[in-house]
Amino acid sequence: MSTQWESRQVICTSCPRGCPLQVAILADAVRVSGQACRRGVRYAREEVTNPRRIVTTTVRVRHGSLPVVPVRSEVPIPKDRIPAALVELRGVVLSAPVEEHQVVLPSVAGTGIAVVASRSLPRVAIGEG
Amino acid sequence: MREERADVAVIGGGPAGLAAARAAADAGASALVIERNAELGGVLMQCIHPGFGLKRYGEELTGPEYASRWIGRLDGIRVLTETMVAAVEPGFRLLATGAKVGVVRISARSVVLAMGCRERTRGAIAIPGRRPAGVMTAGTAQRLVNMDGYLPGRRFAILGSGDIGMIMARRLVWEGAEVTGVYELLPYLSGLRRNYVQCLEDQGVALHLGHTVTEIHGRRRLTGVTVCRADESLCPIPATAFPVAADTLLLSVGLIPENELTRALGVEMDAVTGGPVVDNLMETTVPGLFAAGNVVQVHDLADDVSAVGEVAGAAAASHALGVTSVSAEPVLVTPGENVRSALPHHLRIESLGSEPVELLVRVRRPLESACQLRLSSGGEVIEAHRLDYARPGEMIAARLGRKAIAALEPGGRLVVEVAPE
Repeated sequence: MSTQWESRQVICTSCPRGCPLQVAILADAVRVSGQACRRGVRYAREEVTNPRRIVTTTVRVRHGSLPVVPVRSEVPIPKDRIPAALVELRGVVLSAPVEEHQVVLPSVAGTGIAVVASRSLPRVAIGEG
Repeated sequence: MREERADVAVIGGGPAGLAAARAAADAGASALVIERNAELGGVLMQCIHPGFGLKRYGEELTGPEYASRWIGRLDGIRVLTETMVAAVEPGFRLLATGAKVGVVRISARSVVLAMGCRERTRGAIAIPGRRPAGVMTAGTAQRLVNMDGYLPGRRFAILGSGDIGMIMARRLVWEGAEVTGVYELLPYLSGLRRNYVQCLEDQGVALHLGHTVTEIHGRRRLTGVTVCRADESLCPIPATAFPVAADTLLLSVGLIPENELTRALGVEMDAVTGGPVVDNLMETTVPGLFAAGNVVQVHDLADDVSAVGEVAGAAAASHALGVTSVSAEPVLVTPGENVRSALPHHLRIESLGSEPVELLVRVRRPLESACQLRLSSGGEVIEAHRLDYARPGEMIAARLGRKAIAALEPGGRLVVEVAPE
C-alpha cells in the first residue's frame, strides 16, 4: 500500500467566497487546509470522496402560463448521477397549476432524493396558452 | 386618468425593489411597487440555478425560490404589474403606463429607483462581420431556455466570462447542447470562481483567457466565429486567429445600469459604475430620490442587492414621514490605489450613528496573494482589512467600524485602496 499522501486543490463552493483548499488524501484519511470556516472542511471531504451538486433544470408543463417550470433536487445529488437525472427529467410532463415545492419525482435517478418545482405556475384557460 | 398616492413609490419589482418596499412598509410608510413585467421578481425568475440566499437565509435557493420569499412578504404593499414608468418629475409625480392600467399618475413623497440593469450587446462591443441570426446575449438565451422552453442553438461559443455566460454554459450542456468554449479578452475571470468550478470545470468547458472574437461568420445563420489571442494592451493578434464552428454566439460581456429615468432628473452620475452617486442611505443627489441594486452598480449577489434595497426603503420612508435630519457636509469616499469603485460615494456622518457601515469595493487588477484594504482619512490609515486575494470579478464588502467613523471629518475624504501587504 502506498504511504504517499496524494494532494489535490479544491475550490470551496459552499459560499461565494470560494476558498482555495489544499486536500491531502491517504487511503481513508483526508486532511484539509486553507478554509475560512468549517463548511470548507466538510466541502473538501465530500468533494474528494463523494462529490455532489444540486441539479436544476426545467420540465414541460401543459396549460401553464409558461411552457416549462424550473425544478431542483431538494439536496445535492452525487455528481455522477446528474446525467441520468437530466434524462429522467426530460421525460416528465406536468399539468398546471404547479405549486412551489411540489414533488416532481420522489427519487431521481435512483438516488432517493426528490426533485421539486422551484416556482408556482398558474393554469391558463385553453385557448389562451 | 387613474391616480395613485404613496409615501414611497418603488420603480422596479426585482430583488432591490421588493426589499425596498418591504423595508419602507415596515417603517410605517405606504409603499407602491411599479413593475413593467407581468410578474414580480425581475431577473431572478430566469435564474433557475442555485446559489441565492446563502448570506441571508444560510441555504442555497434558486432564483425563483429567493424571489418567492420576498413576494410572499408583500402584505400591506400595493403592486402595479405590467406598468412602466415613463417619467418622474420632481416633487414627485410619476407618469406610468401599461396595457392593463392605461395611464396612471402617481404622487409620492419619496421614490426608490430599482430598475436594475441590462446586458451589454454586440453593438456596444462592435464585433465586425455579418449580421446573421444566432448572436445574442447570455441573458436572452437564459430567458429562452429557462422560461420559454426553447433551446436557441446546438453548438455554442461564449464570449466573456461573466457569471451569466458561465451559468449558461452548464445549462446548455445539461440541455444536450455543445459548448465549444468561453473566450475572455481579459487575462482573468470576470465572474465568480464558484461559477468557474461548477459551470465550466465540472462540465469540461474550456476557458480561454486573453482571447476574443474578432469576426462573425454566416449569412442567414451563424456558422462560426474567428477567435484571436489578445496582447497585453488587449489588442487581438491577427497571426493567432483560429476558426471556431458554432451556430450560436452568446455574449456575456458586462451589464449596464438602466438609468434613463435617473438622468432625466438631473441626478449626479458616476461614470465608472454607470449609476447615480449615492450616500450611505442610498439617497441620490436629489433629496427624496433613492436608488438601490444594479441600477446603482452591478452587484455579484442578489443577497447584497436585497441588503441595499432595505437601506434605501427604510431611508425613503423616513424622508416621506419627515424624520430626516438636516445634513452636514458629507465625507467623500474616494477610490485610491487599485480601486475601481467604492460605494456609497458619500457618507453622512450624522446618519451613521453607532452602526458600522459597509463599503462595497471593486478592484481594478487582480491580486492573487494576501493583500490589504486600507481606509485613510487626512493621510492617515484609520482602518485596514486583510484579504486573502482581491479580484475584479468579486466585490469586496468592507466594514467601516465605529472607531474609524469617529475619525471621519465632515467635508473630508475617505480614501480606499487595495494593495499588497
